Amino acid sequence: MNHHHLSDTDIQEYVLHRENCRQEAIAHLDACDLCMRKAANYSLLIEAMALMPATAVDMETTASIMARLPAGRRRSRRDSVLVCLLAMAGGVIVVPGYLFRRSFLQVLENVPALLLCLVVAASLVILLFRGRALLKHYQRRMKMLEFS
Amino acid sequence: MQGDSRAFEAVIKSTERLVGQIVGRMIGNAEDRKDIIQDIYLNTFKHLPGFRHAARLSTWIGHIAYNTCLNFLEKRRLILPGENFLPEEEENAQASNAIESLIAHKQLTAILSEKLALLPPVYRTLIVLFHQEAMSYSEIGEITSLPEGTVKSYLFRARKQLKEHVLTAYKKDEL
Ligand SMILES: [Zn+2]
Repeated sequence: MNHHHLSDTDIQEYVLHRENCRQEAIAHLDACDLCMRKAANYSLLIEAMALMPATAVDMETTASIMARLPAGRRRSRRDSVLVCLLAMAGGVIVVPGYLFRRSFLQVLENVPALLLCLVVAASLVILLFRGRALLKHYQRRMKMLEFS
Repeated sequence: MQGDSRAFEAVIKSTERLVGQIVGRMIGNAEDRKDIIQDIYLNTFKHLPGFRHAARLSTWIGHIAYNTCLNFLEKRRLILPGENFLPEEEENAQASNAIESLIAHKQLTAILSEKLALLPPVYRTLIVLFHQEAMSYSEIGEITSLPEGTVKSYLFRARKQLKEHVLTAYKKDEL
């Protein structure tokens, strides 16, 4: 009989991934009672590990997490503030714009057409990029919440 | 926004077992656990938009959970697998039968749970992810940011330590 018994690593490898085990290790185990008993112990240990009770999250924790999710509420409040500000800004531009439309038109007539085109094109490009980023952000969030 | 909250509640439901296992095995104090679990999910919610599909959502949340626990332990200097383990005992033929006898007494899972708590937090977590959550070495590697080879060798050492603790308990009972 071989007096060099197998290491614990070899024995665990035999129990868990027999297909990766060295041939000599398997041959030793077949012939050695002590190593085979150690392997049997590991098998029992591994079986028992799967049966240990799991540590669970306290049920009230889920509720308190949901109660503490501030971003949602804060963000919706922030969103309404933003809408109000935009509406006010819109009012500030549109009302005087309507009242002084003639003077504005006169000013615009004096601005070179090329500069006007540049300003409009730049605004469109910025809008396009912002829109795309928003759409991507939304799609990513939706996709992720499907828990794939 | 309400839809987001509802969907997030579903995310919590689908990952609470894994998070509970990681936090439960890494953190001893029940009050600390509650705070840490809250931090994990609040952090998850905050970083959801940055989540990339390369990882599974559960693995990603597992990673956040593991790191949050690790940071907590680091602050208290209770970190990685240490050498704070009893000297190895030579396993004789009689002791080799010990685990089988314990099974016969239906005590093994109870003793295992008790002895698992004696291992370093990282070892406990690896044992639970591999043997209870049936995760692969690569998934555990993603959660813990450890290379697969390290995960494997830590698991070997963890099982060996656990087995020795169980055998020691058995011998004490016999005395
Ligand atoms: Zn042998």
